[in-house]
Amino acid sequence: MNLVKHKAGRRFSILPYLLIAPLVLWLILTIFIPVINVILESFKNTTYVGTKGENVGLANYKSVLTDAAYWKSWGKSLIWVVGCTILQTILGFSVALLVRGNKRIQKIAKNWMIIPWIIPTIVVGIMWQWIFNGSYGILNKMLMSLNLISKPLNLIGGKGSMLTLIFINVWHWFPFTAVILLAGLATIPKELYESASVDGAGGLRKFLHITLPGLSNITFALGVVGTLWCFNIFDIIWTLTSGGPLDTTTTVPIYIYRGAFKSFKIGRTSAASVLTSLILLVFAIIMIRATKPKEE
Amino acid sequence: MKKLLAKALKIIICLLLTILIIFPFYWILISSFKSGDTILVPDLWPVKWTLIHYKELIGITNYLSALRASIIVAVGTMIICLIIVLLASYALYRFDFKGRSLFERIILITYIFPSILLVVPVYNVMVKVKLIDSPLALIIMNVTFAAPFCVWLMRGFFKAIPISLDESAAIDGAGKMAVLYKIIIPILKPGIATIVIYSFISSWTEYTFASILVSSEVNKTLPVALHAIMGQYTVRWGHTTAGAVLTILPILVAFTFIGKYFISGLTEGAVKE
Repeated sequence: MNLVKHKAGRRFSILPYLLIAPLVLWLILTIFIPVINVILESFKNTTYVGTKGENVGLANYKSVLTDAAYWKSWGKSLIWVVGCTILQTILGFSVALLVRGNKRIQKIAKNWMIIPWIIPTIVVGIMWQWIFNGSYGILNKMLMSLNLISKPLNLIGGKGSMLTLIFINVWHWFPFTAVILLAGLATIPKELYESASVDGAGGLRKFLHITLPGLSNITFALGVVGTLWCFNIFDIIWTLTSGGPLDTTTTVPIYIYRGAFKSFKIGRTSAASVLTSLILLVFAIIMIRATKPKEE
Repeated sequence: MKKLLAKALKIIICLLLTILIIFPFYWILISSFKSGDTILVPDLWPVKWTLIHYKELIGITNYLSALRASIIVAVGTMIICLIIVLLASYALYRFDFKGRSLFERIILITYIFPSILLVVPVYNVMVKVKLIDSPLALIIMNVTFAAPFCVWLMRGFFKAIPISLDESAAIDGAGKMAVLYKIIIPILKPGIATIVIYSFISSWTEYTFASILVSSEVNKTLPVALHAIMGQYTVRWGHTTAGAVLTILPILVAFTFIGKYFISGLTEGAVKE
């Protein structure tokens, strides 16, 4: 092995670089090259993939920035991310706090609850399409036989599609949130709660002053990673509504996918991708600064 | 009395949540065994059981070819992931070298990078390097999205192995690579299970890139094929529910055996970050 003296007493070894090289090269080839490609394409008027576009300067950016549909899709994405995150957190918290008291239930929940998260989105879509379907779904049939509604609700494809999609996605993701929260809760020392009880603190005060601060070490995992992953979700929307009806569920990912593979505007969609990345980057930096656990 | 009421409420909420999680699974499973003329009737239990949908799914749809494609892509993703993740996390969590935190950061950025922003350029690049419509294109991208998260998951597993073990092996004359093979990998079995299951599942469930990077029937993976079966004008619910059941079956079986390692890896990684 090639060993060179490095710093005082610390030997320089090439080995760690060789070990990490395959992964880093892989990521450079599959992420950084496409990123360069998308930046270059964003200045061209390429239409179909494989055709060559000409340089059009900033025209694509101008076109995207002035496109009401692009900003509308950001609005939808915002509703999507905020709606999903809030519901997931509430549901995840409820589950985590509910099962925490009982060791056996907690173990079962921790190991099995995650299942909705690991099944393919397309199957999640099929399951809920099958339950929610307007003409033969079991939900409508049940609500009608209970006389709660007089005619079937069009839950997927109707006006409230966004809400339905959020519900379905929360079903898909809240187990993940709950498992991470359970792990975070487990790191909070029991003595804190005991001494708070001695001091006469109630449930709510314990939650606000012990539980929430104690979870600060997972707010990064849930806050930054969770939000960006949620923003990125495409398949459940595409397979169930394709962004419709009337664009009510066209989030940014749908806007981009459609622009490239349905409207065949590669150049313009590349500009939209670059702009979206920049906005998300700013968001990520702010979030990382805000949620970073204090260095000890 | 108040305590009893609170407990009853707790049990009711637990039950409701359990039903919420389990019912969709139950409902497609049960529906897939109903005969064609009763499948649209929402009976909670089939009037008569049939395997016709499974027979047709295997016989007349492209389910088997999609299953084959999915297995090829998932196994390929899994093997590559396992190798490069083990090597990289050994470097990251066992060596002190210049640029370590920079590499860690590059890997971190990749796993929070929204993949949807890559669909257009990845498609462009794959066309240029003539990998479009090849299972290899899917394997390549699945590794990209699974590997960084796997490295993150490995952190806790490496921390749990005392460095003194490495050191005593080194004193006995073992080289750094021998330490990896002889000491770390045998203890790291739960970690390896985590990589295997995560990379397999993330490849098995991937839809977005699979829907654009491959186009011929033989290369279509299960999620894409299922979407096609479901997306026809009149949805064949028999095929769709049977296909959904067979698509999640391998995942559930795998998860039953190594799921607990996966959960512990997931939670270790999340808490320590």
